[in-house]
Amino acid sequence: MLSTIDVQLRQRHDLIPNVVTLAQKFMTHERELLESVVAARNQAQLPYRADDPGAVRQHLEAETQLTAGLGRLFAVAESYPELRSSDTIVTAQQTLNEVEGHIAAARRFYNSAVTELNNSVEIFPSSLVAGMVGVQKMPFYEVEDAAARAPVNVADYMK
Amino acid sequence: MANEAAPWLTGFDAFRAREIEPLIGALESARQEARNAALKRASWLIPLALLACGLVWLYLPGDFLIFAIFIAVGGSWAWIQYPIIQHQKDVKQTLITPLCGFFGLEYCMVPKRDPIPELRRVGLLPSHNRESREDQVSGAYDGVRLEMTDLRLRQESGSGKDKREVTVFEGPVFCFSFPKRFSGTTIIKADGSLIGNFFGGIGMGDRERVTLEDTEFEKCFEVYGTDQVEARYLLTPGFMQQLMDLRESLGNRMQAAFNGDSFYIVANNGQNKFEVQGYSGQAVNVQLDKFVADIGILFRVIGTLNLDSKTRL
Repeated sequence: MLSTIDVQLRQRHDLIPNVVTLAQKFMTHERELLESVVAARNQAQLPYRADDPGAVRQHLEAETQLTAGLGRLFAVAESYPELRSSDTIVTAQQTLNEVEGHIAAARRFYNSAVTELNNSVEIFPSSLVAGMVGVQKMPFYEVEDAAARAPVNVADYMK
Repeated sequence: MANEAAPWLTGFDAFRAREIEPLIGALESARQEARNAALKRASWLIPLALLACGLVWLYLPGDFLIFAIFIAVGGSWAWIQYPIIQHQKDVKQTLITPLCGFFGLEYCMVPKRDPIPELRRVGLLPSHNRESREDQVSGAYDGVRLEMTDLRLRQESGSGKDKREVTVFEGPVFCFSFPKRFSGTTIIKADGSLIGNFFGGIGMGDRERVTLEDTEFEKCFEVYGTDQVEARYLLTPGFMQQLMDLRESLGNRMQAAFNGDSFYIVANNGQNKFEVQGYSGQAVNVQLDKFVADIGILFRVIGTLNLDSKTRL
């Protein structure tokens, strides 16, 4: 199940180098933001153990950070007309929308499987078998995060 | 009637007042003529048929008697009804053609294209050995090809004297073609209770059950797909709501499927979508309102699918 979602996430990772390289040319004042996106991508690409709920949680949190970072990057890119009109960024944004759609679908599939697994781990009699073979509850892949929902200070982008 | 949520209705009220209302007025006098013609036929045919039945009763043997009465009554009824049936066809042709034209669609009483083979391929139609199709509306909206056809499928059952024909499907079918292609097949079946769903799932081959998080949607439909992720990619929360709205209009036995670049909807609801029951001006208006509302639902489906393909929200 995680491999299904990782296939979709990898497509998102593959998009980032091109976007960041292009953005660097125009967004000279956004170095910190660009660096945070690259750092989030590197963090999300680290190998992890798919049977360890803690490692899976960390991996998914890194992806959530990356989603938020990318969202901010495209939002800030709106205030750079040359960047906004670049063919590469337009194509990247369209591709990202497509990829995000597949990630959302894979996330729903993953979460529905996790619901079933967690119910089996918790509810008798399957909980007995789960306890014996060491199956543990797995974390959900949530997309909500405080940074992404924080109000944007428009004045910052109007300087 | 037009608003931002229904841009296809822009100018519709004026069009209806200018083009459709005069037609309804003209059809009203045609309706009176058809009714008078039917009554005139009935006034002399019914006594004649009764007389013929009486003669048959007196002079023909028992077995032949029932057959002769059946022929006499059936034939008389068809002949009396003919002007009315002809008028109803005229109403349909006269009103639906300009109405479809307003929405950029084309109406044909005899379908140009047969949708049955592809609908059978995705398993949306029951097995049958006789089929009839009529009233096809086709065209495009917002870059999506759209086609609606009325279907009637019948299956022969029994043998010898018990041989009879049963209607296994009657209702509208819709085919949408998208510029985008999907790799798998996703089938949205009407919920058939616990036992029905169990047997329905057996014939699904390599398609797995897709459990969706919307409990209301799950109560109405059972989803099967060859690709779990793609099924969820297509069935976004917004689109599931559209299907629920469509079910309200088309009935509980509505089913749908995505395959290749096409999306199909079939509704075994026993209705002829384009049949205008033209026996009073008010009834015609009610039927036309329903037709326009249904067109709106279909355009909204296209809008949601297109919007989803752009944003995937």
